[in-house]
Amino acid sequence: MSNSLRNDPAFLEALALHHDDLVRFARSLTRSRDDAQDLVAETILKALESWHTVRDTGAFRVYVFRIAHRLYMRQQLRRRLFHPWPEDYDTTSSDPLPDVMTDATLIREAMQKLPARHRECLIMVDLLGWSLAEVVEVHGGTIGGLKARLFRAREALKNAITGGHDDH
Amino acid sequence: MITDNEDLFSDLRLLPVDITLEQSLARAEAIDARRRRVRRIAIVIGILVVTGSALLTYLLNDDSTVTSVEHPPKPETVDQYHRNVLDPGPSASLPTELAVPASSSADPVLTPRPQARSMASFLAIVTADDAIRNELAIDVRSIETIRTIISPGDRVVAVDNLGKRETCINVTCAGGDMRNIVCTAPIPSPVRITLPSGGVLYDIDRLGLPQDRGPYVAVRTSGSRGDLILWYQVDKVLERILPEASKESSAQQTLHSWLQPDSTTVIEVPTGKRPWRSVTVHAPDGSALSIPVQWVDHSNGSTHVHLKMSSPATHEIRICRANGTTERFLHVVR
Repeated sequence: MSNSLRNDPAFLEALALHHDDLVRFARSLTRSRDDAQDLVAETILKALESWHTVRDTGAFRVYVFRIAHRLYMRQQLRRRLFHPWPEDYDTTSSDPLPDVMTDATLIREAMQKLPARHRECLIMVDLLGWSLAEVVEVHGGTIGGLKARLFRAREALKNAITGGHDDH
Repeated sequence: MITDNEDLFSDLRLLPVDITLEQSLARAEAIDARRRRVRRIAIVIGILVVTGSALLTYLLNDDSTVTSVEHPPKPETVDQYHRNVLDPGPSASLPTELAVPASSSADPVLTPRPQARSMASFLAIVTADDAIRNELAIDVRSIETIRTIISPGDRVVAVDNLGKRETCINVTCAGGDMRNIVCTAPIPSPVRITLPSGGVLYDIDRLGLPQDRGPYVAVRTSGSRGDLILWYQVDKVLERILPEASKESSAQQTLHSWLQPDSTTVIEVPTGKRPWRSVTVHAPDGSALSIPVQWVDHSNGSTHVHLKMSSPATHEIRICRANGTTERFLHVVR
């Protein structure tokens, strides 16, 4: 696996295009940098296993994020079964701007209070700028259902940030 | 305050990506290497467990063929063997039937053998053709090997090894040592091997089962030094292989017989209405033997036939009645 990981230029090229988005996605989903790095690494390994089945490199983004989504859901399930206690939120970052860091940390903390599927929708659409159709490709379901979920997710996130006292 | 149009994720977007592609690839390689190592260890453990359990199973079920290496067979000629068998020692001449154990004290599982047994009719001996030899898995070579190596006091024992689904023929020495001779699929093993003349080469006891009580079916087969007769006890398997002979044999009535202190075998035969003219002893192949015979009528309606014969043998007794009819029956001396 290691050899083919480094020796498959087509895979590396496709991965490089979406790596940063994949990291943002993982960082927003998970509670620590380590967890995010593990999720990204696992996704890469899994993606390489069935890489030969991806004929259209344009579909690589959906392919990789679908793997990341499934791995994350599996981790969540495992965590619920074996580690039901809450984990500390990791605020460490290489970010040089403290004020940006604080806001980002607040949003990440608020995101952790949302259900996993709501969190994913928000990240993909609002953070990574995916179209609704692309998100449906990863998560399944319908665009109408996704819109409703997005609406509820955004409302929940606002409430989480303001502590339920949004006076707009 | 948060408005509907406010972009909540703008701060997150401003954050630099703190995990590079190189770091992700390095982590993926580390995870992959760890998984491979774990998989290799699991395979090695699996192989060790399987090998260990196979070895354990083998050791638990093994009848120790190593013993046969440690105790090499003692060669003995057939003549020597017959001289020894014909002089079985004082235990064979004890007076009561069924009460005298002829077994080695080193083998308490084996039950005592009956000293004498007579069957109410004599069966024609079945000559083994290829089909019967295959069905009964007759291994003449092993039979002759055992005949060569056994000594007086040894016992030949068939042991059913249920774990391996096989039957092994072992020779248990007088001292208690056991030598494994041959193992086959579970088949009926003969209870006695004789020459066509009726002389016993050896008996085979069945470990864990009652000693043979008859009825018997005799199968004649050729060996390297002449024919042999294999005496089988009728059971379900034999009934399937030799249905006619088994059916006929099972219908026999066992006669009461015993050994007397003067080494005479006595057989109690229902006299019937017609008087007897003669009683003769024959070998299984039909040849007449010069064994002295006397018979005494009793008031209870039976006749006691006295044979001057106490050594292990399998013979045919023929009783000729005054009207010319002949009754034949099998007589077995243990």
